[in-house]
Amino acid sequence: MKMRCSEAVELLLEADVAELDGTGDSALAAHVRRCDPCRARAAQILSVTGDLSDALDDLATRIAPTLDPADVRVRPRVHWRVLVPLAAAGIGALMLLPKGPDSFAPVPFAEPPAWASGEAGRVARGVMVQSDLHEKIAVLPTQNPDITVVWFMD
Amino acid sequence: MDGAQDHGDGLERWIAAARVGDREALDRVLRHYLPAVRRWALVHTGDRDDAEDVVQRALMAAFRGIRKFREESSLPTWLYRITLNASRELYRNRKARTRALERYRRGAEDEAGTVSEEDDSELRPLVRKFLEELTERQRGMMDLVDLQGYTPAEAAEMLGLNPNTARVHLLRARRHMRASLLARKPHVLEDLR
Repeated sequence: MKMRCSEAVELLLEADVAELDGTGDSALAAHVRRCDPCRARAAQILSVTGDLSDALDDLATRIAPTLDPADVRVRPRVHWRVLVPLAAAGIGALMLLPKGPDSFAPVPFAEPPAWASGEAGRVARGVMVQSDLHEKIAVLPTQNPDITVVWFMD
Repeated sequence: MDGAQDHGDGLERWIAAARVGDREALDRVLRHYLPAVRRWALVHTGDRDDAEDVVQRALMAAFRGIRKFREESSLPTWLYRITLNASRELYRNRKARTRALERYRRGAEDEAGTVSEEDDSELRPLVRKFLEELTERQRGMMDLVDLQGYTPAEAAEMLGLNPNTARVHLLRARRHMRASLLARKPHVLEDLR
């Protein structure tokens, strides 16, 4: 029994692309092959579908035209670069604390290790004092004369 | 547009090298898939600016995660999932999605199209309908299957959907788009009346 055009149009709405092209053994594909109006409808759907794809491609090519995967780099986590040398410098400072509880003499810091460069290296050159409250206090000048880091330790 | 079937031996070798940390190989692989990633980002965001953001997020995720790629799926599938996740992350806040669509309605897409004046009346509403009226899954399925040539099974895997569910999304998308198209072309239906 031959398919009627009204039935074919209903099926065209959900058909696979190959069926729209009249390819395959399905009843719809057979109808499209022999019915000129339905072939025209299917061709219209295929044509505009292709145009839609081209339009989306065109839009997509305009996304960040300068973007290059080579420009996308995983940035090292900054806090490790800063915190690890700082922590190491702090541990070094603790190891050099004077043993006597009444000592007020400034204790020179050891030179920071070679790898503790940059901000960490500069910060590590400070003095350690002990207050009346038996708190140990590290006074750490920085290269900025307006900034001095004061570190209270129990 | 590149489909999964476009893998040549050369690309497979680059992918293998990229997985073990070869940076140049990874650059080549991502450059190969960049047009596809852009297209997927556009389809899932519907907005060029947001798509750019999604592409950046997706590429960053790919750079970070390539060593974890285990070929349980194809590389395009893996990249598609990354892009999809980047898009969903961007739109987790529903307001962002609303703003994006609003920008699109205001004509932010105008500069994006090279469609001629003749095509304008035909294509622009169609693109807008595709990006605005279909659901994310409908857009994804229709784009992958009907516009880019992936099989429904491949598209379902890329979208992380059950194949039957994916088929339903595909058919609904087709019906919505094609019914609108035929309604706009009364002459192709007139002999049915």
